[in-house]
Amino acid sequence: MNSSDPTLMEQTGSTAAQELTVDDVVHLQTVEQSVAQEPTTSSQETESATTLAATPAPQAGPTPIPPRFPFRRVSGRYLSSGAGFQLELRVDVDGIRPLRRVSGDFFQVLGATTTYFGSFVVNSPTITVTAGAVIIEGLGSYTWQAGAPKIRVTIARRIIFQPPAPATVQFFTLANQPGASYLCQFVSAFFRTLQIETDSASDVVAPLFQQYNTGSLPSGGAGRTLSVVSAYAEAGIEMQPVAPGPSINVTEAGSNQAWSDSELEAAMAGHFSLFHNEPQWKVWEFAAEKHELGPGLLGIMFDYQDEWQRQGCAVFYEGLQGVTSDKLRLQLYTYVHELGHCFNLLHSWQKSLATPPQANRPSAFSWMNYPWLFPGGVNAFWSGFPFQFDDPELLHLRHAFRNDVIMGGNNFAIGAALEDPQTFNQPIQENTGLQLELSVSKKNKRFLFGEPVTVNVKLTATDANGKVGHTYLHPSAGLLQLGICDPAGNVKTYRPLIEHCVSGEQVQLEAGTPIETSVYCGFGKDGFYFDRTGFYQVRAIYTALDGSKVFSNILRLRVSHPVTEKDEDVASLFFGEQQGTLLYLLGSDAPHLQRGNDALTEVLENYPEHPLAEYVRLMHGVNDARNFKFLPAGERKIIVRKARHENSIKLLSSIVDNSEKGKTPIDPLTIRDNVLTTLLSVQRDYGDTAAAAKVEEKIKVRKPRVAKAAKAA
Amino acid sequence: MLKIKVGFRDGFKGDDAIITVDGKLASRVPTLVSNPAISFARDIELEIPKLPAEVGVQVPARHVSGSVKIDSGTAYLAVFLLDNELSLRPLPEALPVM
Repeated sequence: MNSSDPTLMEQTGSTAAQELTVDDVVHLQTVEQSVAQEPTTSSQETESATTLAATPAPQAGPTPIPPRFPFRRVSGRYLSSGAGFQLELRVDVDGIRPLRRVSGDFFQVLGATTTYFGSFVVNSPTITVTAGAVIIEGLGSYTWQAGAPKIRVTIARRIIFQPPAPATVQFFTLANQPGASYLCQFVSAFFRTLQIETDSASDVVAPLFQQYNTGSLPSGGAGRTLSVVSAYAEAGIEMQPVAPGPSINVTEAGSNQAWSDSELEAAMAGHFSLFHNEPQWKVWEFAAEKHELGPGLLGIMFDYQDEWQRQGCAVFYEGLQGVTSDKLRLQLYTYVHELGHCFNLLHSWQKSLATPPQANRPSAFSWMNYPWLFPGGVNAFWSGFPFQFDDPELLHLRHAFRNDVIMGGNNFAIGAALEDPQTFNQPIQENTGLQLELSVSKKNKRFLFGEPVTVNVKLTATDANGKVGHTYLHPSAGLLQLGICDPAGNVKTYRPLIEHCVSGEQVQLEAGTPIETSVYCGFGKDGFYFDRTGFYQVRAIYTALDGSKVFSNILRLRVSHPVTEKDEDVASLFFGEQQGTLLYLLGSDAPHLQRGNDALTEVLENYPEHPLAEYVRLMHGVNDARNFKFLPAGERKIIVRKARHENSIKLLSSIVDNSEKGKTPIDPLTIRDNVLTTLLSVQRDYGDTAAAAKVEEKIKVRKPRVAKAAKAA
Repeated sequence: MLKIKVGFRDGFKGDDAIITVDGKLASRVPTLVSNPAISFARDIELEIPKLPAEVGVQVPARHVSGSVKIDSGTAYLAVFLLDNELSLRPLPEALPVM
């Protein structure tokens, strides 16, 4: 609600408070499946069942239609009872920001002892709604080798005046033989519940933070009053405050009255009434005056050195104190941010430091970012920030395996994020005025085994007046993400070998004048992304500088089996870390890549007619055009290998000829942006102006607006 | 003479760094260790004889280096070492830590 007019909504953008029914979610699932043009029996059944649920049955005669009461939400936490194993189940299919997941933790009960056994999550369940029940089915990922990994959860539908129904959980083997079943009673609408104790130091004289109205200053979400507790409640996490202890004497911080991390740990052990060195849903937040690092340190999760980490954090009023709106906003942000670290969340731009590493998200509008590091600047951050975690963080908070998230569980940054198959879900709302398309210039979208996979990314303004946006369409700039789903269903975010900081420059994108670029995504920080045969799905997400996201179509492509022994041999010469690096860099003379160069040169020498030899010509052709500088091992003098103009021209011209005959596997955008552009430059350097003029003509014919390469800050 | 702060932030694991100003050695910074919970290793003060200036940072053991032009609008230079790449961010004021 608007802070000055209760009849107005604050603004659109990310709808922190938008609540979805399970029927809405099932509808979205159906839309997604129809967008993917692969309707399945279950989606059709789902649709008819949804219609059945939503439409009253025809009545005989003029009987008045009875009032229809809304159904209860089914999302939340459920718990089984009894000896043996207990299951704590989390169902996340409706309500606020539903993630369409089911996850759970098993506990083993032996006599009076209950121990944690393991966790699971179902990332892509099928949700079916009938008049009587919500049924969620899918294959889970487990912390152990589960014998019956398929799961079906059935929850009866109840109207809001009835008590919530229990969840029946049935496990199945991969051959669909029934395994164990559990009856789980509804416990809470929250996915996790923890206790929080907030203590303060004796020298803090400023009023301690209580709440902030997010409508007080421009923001990217609905205006609302948030406290630490309600900010986490919006994420589905219940924080139950316990009574604070007496204020802690600042003398415990030593004679300098500034806290060090070890003094903070000692204070936690001595004053946190719920403290135990074990994994537990309990956390301590300490409001202190100053840290020994000075007023620039606003807060810290100080518990990162012993065996039971992430149990406490602190905020420092030396840099936070004040009652103005911007100070209250910063206080809320710091409190929630530091607690986010206690849940094992890393900063948005350093997700790659996690184990396993994740893609960095410097442009995330999240509690875990730094407003001062936001690519569009600090004001752009606050204007677009909806006071919430981003989706991958929400996924971690709600559904991460227990030890990856619970305080006192895994060490900080270990298991700090789940992979995010959400990339392949349709957004709930998209009004960006932009359209993003992914394509490949391949017959039947088929790549040969070992072939460098390049996709074309095209951004078009659909708004008739055009649209302001950035033009960084390569993942190396961090403003476009590529998700790749392999034939086994594993989803990875493509991580380019080299990332660049960009200045966040914006341009006017004219309607009907797309910008496009080709992106080589075959090799990156995780190695080869298309190293097995079969069908792949690729999707791109463009993050505008206001934080809104534009989702591309889902591109389906195939990597075919090698047909001949020759295909097999060539593919094996392409697969190798050094070869991947060379293809990414379009060649290099670096001595440590010599083995890769030898393997690829062998393709050119022994299999010159093979289609994949064209990629080696491209790589050598571009590299030979450069004056290559390198420092040999043990030397102090940089060696410059002069450009090999003639060889470069020969190789690149051969690709152009083949392309004009339709005989090259290299896509037209790469021909334009890499082959022709390099050829033009090398011919000019070589002094062949007539040939250069002809190449220039060829470029002009093929020249639409080109996306910007990432430029270093 | 301008004084700025150079803040070594993420990714340092006991590394030594060298800072140059307009190609001349300005400072050697030993044993940087980052704390990922606050994205911070150490701040140091750097004197800049005249503006604009090219500030360079090298981490020899990691074979990475970078440089950036700074002007009178720069009060803080944040240095990140993520995925074995050095990134330099000139900022108008000190980057808070949290």
